[in-house]
Amino acid sequence: MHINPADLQAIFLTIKLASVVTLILLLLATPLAWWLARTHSKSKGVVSALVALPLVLPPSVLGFYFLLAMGPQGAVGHFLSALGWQALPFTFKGLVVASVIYSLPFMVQPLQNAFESVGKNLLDAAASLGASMRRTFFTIVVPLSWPGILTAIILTFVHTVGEFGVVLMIGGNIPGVTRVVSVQIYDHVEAFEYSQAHSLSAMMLIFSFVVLLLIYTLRPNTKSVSH
Amino acid sequence: MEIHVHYQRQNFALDVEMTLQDQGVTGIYGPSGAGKSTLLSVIAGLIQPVSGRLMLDRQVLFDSEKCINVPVHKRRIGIVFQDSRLFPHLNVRDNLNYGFNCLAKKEQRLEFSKIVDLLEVGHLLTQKPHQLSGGEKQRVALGRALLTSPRLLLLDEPLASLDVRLKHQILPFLRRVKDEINIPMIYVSHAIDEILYLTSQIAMLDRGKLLAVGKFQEVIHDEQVLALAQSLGLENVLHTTICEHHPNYGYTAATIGPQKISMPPMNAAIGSQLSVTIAASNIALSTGKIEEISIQNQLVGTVSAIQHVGTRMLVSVDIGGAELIVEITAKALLDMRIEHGSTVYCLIKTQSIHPFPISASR
Repeated sequence: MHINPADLQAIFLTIKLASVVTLILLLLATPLAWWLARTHSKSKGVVSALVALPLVLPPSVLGFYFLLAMGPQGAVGHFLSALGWQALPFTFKGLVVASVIYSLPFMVQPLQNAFESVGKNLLDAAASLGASMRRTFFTIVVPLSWPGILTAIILTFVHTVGEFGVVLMIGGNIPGVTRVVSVQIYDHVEAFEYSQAHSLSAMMLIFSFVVLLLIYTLRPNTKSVSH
Repeated sequence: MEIHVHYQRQNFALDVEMTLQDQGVTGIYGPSGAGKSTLLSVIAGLIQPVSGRLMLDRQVLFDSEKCINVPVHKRRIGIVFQDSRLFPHLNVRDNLNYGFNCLAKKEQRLEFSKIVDLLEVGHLLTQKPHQLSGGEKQRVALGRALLTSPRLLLLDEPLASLDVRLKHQILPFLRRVKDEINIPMIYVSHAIDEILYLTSQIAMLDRGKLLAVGKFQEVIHDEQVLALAQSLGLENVLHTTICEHHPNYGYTAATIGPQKISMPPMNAAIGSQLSVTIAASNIALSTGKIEEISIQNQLVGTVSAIQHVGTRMLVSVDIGGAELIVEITAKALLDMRIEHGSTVYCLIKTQSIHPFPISASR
C-alpha cells in the first residue's frame, strides 16, 4: 500500500466532511421526510421533485449553480458578505453546504419510506391513547423505522464520501481544506502515480462494498420489524 | 353525548344527528358500508366532518361554525379497533402502559392490576404482540384503551376479525367491562346478537343515515329497521335464569319471566344468568297449545306487532318480560287468522336454542 501523508490528510478530510454532512442532513431531512410521508398537500409533488433533482442532474450542473449563487456576485454570496462572512466557494463550509444539497435525496427518501411504512393506523392508535405527535414520533415512529434510518445515514455518508464533480466545481483542490479522497485519486492519476491511485481506489472500493453489503443484509429485517 | 355531523367522501355521505346516553353501552348496528366506522372516526377525531357539532361531557369537541376541533389526543376518547393495532415493538406490559403513562397521576382512575386481572392478561405481560392469538390481542387492546380512563370508549367491530369460537370467548370480557367499569361505550357491529348481548340501547345506521335510536324492542317495530335487521339475520337474544339441570333427559331448564324453557345441556350454575339466541326463522306459531308433539317449548304470548318484510311476515310476540320475533309466511298468517292482540304459542325446538356466548354449552 502506498499511503502518503497527503493521502491520509485527504482520508481524514473526507471522513470529516461526510460526518458533518450526515449529521446536518439527519437534522434537516427528518422533519422534511416526516412531512412528505404524511402530507396530502398539493406541494408534495413539487417538493419531492426538488429533493430528487440531485439524483439526476450532472454534478457539474449543480456545482456550476452553487458557484454562481455562492460566489461574491451571487445572491447567497452577497447575503453572506453582508453578514461579514467570507465567500463560500473553495472553503470547507462551502463544500459542506454543497454536499448537503447534493446528498439530500439519499437521506430524505429512505427516511420517508421508513416513516410511511409505519402506517397511519398505529399513529391513530397512539393519538387515541393520548400521545401527542411528538411523543408518537419518538416512541412509535423512530423505533419502528430504525432500519430505514440506519440505511439513510449509511447511504448519505457513503454518497458524500464518493462525490467528486461537485467538490471539484465548488471546492477546488486545496490540500487539507477541500481535497477529499476522490480528488486525491484524480490528482494521482493525472500525475501518473498509478500505484498510489490504486491504493486509494481499492480502499474506496472495499469500503463501499462493505457498506452496501451491510445495507442489503439489513433489508430483510426492515420488513419483519414493520409487520 | 351530542352528535350532529355531516361528512362527505366521493359518493358516500354520512348525516347523523343524535344524543347518546351518558352511561352504559350503545350499540351502533347496520350493514357493512353503512358508515358505522366512519361515524366512530368522526367522534374520535380521526377524520374531520364537513360540518356539524360534537359535544361530550359539556365540552365541545368539534364545531364547524366556531372553528373548534379538539385534536384526537386531547379528546380522552378510547378506541378499540378491529385490527388490534398493538405496537409491534413493545411487549404487552408496555402496550398497556402506553396511554396510561400519558395521563397525569390524578387522572389514572383505573388501576393497572385491576385491568390486568379483569381481562386475564397477567400471564402475557412480557410477550410481544406477534406471539399473541387474535383474542389475546383484542383483550390487550381493550385493556390499553381502558387504562387511559377514557370519557367514552369506542369499540369498532372489535370481534369482526376473530373466528366464532374466539368471538364467544371475548364477549364475556366485554360484558364484564360494562358491568364493572363505569365508562360509557359505543359498540359498533353488524351482528345483532353481539349488540343485544351487551345492550338493548341501539342506533340503527344504513347508507349514512340514522334509521332509529332507542331500545331495540321499540325501534325494531320501525319497518325500515326490521327489514334491515331481517336481511342481516334476525336473532332473538333472551336473558334467562338457569333453574334445573336434567342430564339424564338431555336438557337444562331456565326461566324467562314467568315461563319456563328447556334448552340443550348448559354449563352454567343453577341460579346464574345465561343469554341465549333463537333465530326468528326457527320459531313456529300455533293458536292453541299442542299436546302430542316432540317440541318441548311452547311459550304463550300476545301478538304485539305484525310486519311485512318482502314476502315474509315478522310477528312480535310479548311473552311476558321479553319479546320474541317470529318469522312466518304470509300464507300461514292468513290461514291462522293471527292479528294484533291474538294469543299465540311460540314453538321452539330445544336444539335451536343456543347459548350466547357459546362457551356455556356442554
